[in-house]
Amino acid sequence: MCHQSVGLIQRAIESQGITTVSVSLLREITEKIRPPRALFVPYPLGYPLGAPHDTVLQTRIMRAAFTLLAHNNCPVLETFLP
Amino acid sequence: MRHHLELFRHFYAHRFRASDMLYSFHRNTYSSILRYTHSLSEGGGTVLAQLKDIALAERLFLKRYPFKKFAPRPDDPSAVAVTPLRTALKDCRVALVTTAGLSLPDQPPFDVTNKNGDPSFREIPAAISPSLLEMNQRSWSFDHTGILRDRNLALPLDRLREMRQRGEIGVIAPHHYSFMGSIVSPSKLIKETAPEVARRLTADAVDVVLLTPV
Repeated sequence: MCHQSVGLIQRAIESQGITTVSVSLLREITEKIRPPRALFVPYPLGYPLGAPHDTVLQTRIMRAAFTLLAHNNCPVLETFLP
Repeated sequence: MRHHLELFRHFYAHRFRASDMLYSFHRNTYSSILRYTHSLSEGGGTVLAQLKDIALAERLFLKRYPFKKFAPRPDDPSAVAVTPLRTALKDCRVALVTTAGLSLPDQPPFDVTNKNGDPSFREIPAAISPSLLEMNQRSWSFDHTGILRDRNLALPLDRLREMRQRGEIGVIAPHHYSFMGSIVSPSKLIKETAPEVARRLTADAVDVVLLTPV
């Protein structure tokens, strides 16, 4: 349900003229919701940026997500490789 | 197993009484949380979140939930709108939006009793320390412990500050936003609260938003 909420909020923001990217923990759901840009990360629900207090991993995931901002051929769903 | 079968019968008897279903999930999904927590504490490497990892009752719910109803339709321009990045990330004003149900101690907590989900949001000022944030969640389908240990896992304000200091992003937006994700009936989210957050982000001249589910 969280993924649907994120997708709906993301589309509302993108349609107002702001470039958006989201993290996804459930590829199957994100494929149905089709937000403009999403980075699938291989972590459990509740762990969108990988691991608590792992600043290196959290930063890497954020950088990978920000890289997708350049894509305009949407929807884009890429996978983060740890 | 018997409990599952009962749920299954209940499910078909009520077709899409989705909110009732979610209520009965709490007990079942707790076991999947324990599995996650266990596998993490075992240090068992990467644990993928997949539909098969979620308790049966919730999986059935997700399989039958009409996601299509809320997926973008080609005839809806706002649904397929794409905003190209105007300027390089190092010059962008960046905001965060999460559905982790985070709120500040002086804000009203999210309503965890609303069976259709609480579509409201909380505005989080950029200057706060993430550790101040409290979490309220209706959903027990995910492990809460990671975010309770480090709020940056969902709302990475500290990471954003570091990226700002390194010059990777331009400016941190003055306000960030938190929703509680388990919104089974999202019409108020679609019509009111999500557009309102979009308007506020626009008013803050935000260029880029990073969104995180839980």
